[in-house]
Amino acid sequence: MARKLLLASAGAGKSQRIAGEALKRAANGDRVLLLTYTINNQVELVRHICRANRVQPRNVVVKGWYEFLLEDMVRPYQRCIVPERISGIILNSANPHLGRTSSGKTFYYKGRAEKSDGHCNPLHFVTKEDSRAHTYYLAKLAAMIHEQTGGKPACRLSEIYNTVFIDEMQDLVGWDFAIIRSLVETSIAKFDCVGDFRQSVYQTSETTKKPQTIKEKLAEFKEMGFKIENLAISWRCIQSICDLADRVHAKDGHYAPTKSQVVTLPPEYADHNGVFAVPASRIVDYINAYNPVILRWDRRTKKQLCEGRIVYNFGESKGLGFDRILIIPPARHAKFLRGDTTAFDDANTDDSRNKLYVGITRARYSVAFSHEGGAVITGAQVWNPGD
Amino acid sequence: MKCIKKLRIKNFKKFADETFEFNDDINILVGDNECGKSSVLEAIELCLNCCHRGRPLSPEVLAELFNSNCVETYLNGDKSQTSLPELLIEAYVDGDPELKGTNNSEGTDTQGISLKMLFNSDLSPYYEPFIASGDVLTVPFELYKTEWMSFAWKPLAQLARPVGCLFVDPTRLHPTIGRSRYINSIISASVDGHARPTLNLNYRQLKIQFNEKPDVKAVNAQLNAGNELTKKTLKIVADITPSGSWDSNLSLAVDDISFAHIGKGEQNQIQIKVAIQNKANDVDVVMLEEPENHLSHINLIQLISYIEQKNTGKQIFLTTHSSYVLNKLSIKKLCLLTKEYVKLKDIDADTVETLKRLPGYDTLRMVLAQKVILVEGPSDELVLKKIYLGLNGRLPEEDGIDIIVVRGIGFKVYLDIAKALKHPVRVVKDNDHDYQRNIVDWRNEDYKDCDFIECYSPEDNALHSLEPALVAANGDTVAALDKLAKVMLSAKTYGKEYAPCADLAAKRAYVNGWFDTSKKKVDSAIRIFDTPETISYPDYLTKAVSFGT
Repeated sequence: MARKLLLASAGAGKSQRIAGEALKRAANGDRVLLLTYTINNQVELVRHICRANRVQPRNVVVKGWYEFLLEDMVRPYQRCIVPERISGIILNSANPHLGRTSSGKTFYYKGRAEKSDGHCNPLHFVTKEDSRAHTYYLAKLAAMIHEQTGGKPACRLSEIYNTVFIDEMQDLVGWDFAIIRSLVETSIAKFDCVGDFRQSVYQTSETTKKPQTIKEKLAEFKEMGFKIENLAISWRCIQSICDLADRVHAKDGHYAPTKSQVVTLPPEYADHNGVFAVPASRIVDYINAYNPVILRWDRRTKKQLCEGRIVYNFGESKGLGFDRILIIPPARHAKFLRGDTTAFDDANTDDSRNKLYVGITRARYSVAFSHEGGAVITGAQVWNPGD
Repeated sequence: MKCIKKLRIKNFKKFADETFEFNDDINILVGDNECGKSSVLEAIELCLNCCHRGRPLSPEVLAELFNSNCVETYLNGDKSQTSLPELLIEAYVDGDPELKGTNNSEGTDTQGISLKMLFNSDLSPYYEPFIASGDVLTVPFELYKTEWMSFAWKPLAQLARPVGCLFVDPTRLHPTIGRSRYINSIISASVDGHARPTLNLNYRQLKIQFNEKPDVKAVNAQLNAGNELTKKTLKIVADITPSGSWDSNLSLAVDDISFAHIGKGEQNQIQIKVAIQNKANDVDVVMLEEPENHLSHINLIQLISYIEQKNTGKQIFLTTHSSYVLNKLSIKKLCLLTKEYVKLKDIDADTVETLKRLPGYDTLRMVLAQKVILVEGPSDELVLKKIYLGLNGRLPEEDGIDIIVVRGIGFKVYLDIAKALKHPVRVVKDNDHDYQRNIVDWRNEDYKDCDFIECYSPEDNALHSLEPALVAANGDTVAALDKLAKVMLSAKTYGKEYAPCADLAAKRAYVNGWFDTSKKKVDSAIRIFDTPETISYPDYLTKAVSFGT
């Protein structure tokens, strides 16, 4: 089996690349499965396919990760662990077995342990009332079914497909890797994983199972025989934006500098492009002047300002591209944008840092951020016209 | 190429719980009336298409489908929610790994589709008042749901059926009722994918053109002249609403006669050929119900060779009552529905070929009869019938005993089939002057352990065929022999040649000699059958028609 891990920076055109590759394989008569994490990206992949080929060929199937786990890795053989048909999934934002008392103490619900009487406990994986699978444990369930059936789900999958691409592989974590491993062991001829660890913004399943960190994930891919390739280019962002984005993860030392592939700047952006620190008092002026898309932490951020304007949360904006953006930075982002390289050092996860990276790399021509005063990160200029 | 390997049916029509194994290419379902041949086809259609004879699965339809015993059991039981009957049909298929999983009644890892009709537990609040009312006369199918899934437990949709099946069912071709849907499926199967949009576009344009025709405009101008009917414009127009797509409005015409009105035989042939040809290439399984219906023998021959030659890669299921269809398409493909289901497996290859070349023999009669007696010629048949009539007052066929004359192909073909099916059969055979060789050795050679094949023949080599045996049975006294001779011989022969013989020995010698050379043995047998006289019959023949009680 040919295995490749492609580390592509934001805007490198990986979705288009995957779509193209999938179409090429499909034209050869291969049966292709494209997997991705978010619905946005699922739509994006289909759009790329249809842009190139008008229709999605019958032998190219695009599925979301949970849909894939449920339909292909769980249900066909679920009865060895969960006798009742799993009716669907329930999206968990945290461990569903963890409760909190009114006084704030956490506790585990009874009867939901992984094993009971030495057997796998269905209630660890599905809801009691309507047999929906907890997404938090879905990959774990799939991995256990795989183990108990001696690899039947992966075997079935290899009878259906001979080419598998996983886009947004950065969002895979913990038990998801057991599934990747199960596919590696089959007769599937080509298996590519594509993504960018810096864009991982979803914490999706059990957090104790390794691999969790970028380092662990990279090691795991290598150990499974994936050949690692880099694609450090951007078709979206101009060079100054690439430079700012690179700075977010510069400390890790994993990534090559991103080279912008944007060669011509449309004339209407000529007078205002690059990175700008906008004083908080001038935000409305800035918005009125350049009409940027606003990126924020979540719905509670600056409600009044965002009202009636085009706004995305950082997470939601993934995979999208805008001409101009305005970031409303939470505390750590603001610290970083003041030039403090230790801004993310005290964070437990990469979540906040990655969200900033995703945010910055949405912009084609200009990135602005609200600035409360103090120093400004290298490469950014303070926007203060009329001064 | 997708095909059904096996079908499991529970609580459907007459099947309480039955499993049928099939051939990948052709399956010829035979059986007596009411044995469930059509039900098997219906079960396949249900499982593959999620409909019954083209109808969606409404509560009324469900009521027709459930096995009456399971309904009875429910009605006589405690009527608890869990005692409500469930219907299950599982098609174990090959050729589509997406259908693979262990979610089937066997729990094996295999490809397949399952259709289940069961109580919808979401509706249990409605069940309580239903049974509380006391008078429960039927199963509340209104509270049922249908689960249609692959063995991977993925729900299936009719528009994306994983295994396509087309049920050619001439009875659905009523000139008016339910016509369009059925003809649609035929038309759809007969044109390839690109032709459909072309037809639809042209059809829509045609309708628009209709509205623009000068004659139509003239009619419309008159329709509401002077705005008497309404102040607005009133027009007769061709319906161009979306529901009026081409396939529900176009029909087939043969020599300009609408399909529903052409001869039944022609309808039948065209439907079957369209299904086999399937230009749309969306059909994996074709089901034909009694293709011989409404067809003359010559047309049947043509149709069967069409099926034989043109079918590429489709799995065919057909029911038939015609030995010709069975023999011609290969008796090897026989699926017999009797008390238990038997798929013919090991049958002599020569026999299969012989029957393909000589398909006119009544193999099906033998397969279907409960009690079969194979005989060499019509004389044997007539005499056996006469004996049975004398003993029971009825002809053997009235009691389900079929006497079959094997004619040219001899016993071997019939007995090979009987052997493969383990089907009980009796053989009445001449010893042809050598009982050991022609009866004992002959039987041991091919049918040694087949105790269900019983052989009847005189052990005395002198009684080499029917007539000498008859003579011997009636040859003890002159009176008895005279009576026999009077029945069997023509009046002229009896008076001129038999009567003058001096004594019993001479008379016996004459009669035996006459039979050795006569070409009128069948006439003699007919006379025996018709005579009111009582004559004696050889023991082996009487035994052959005695089935005990």
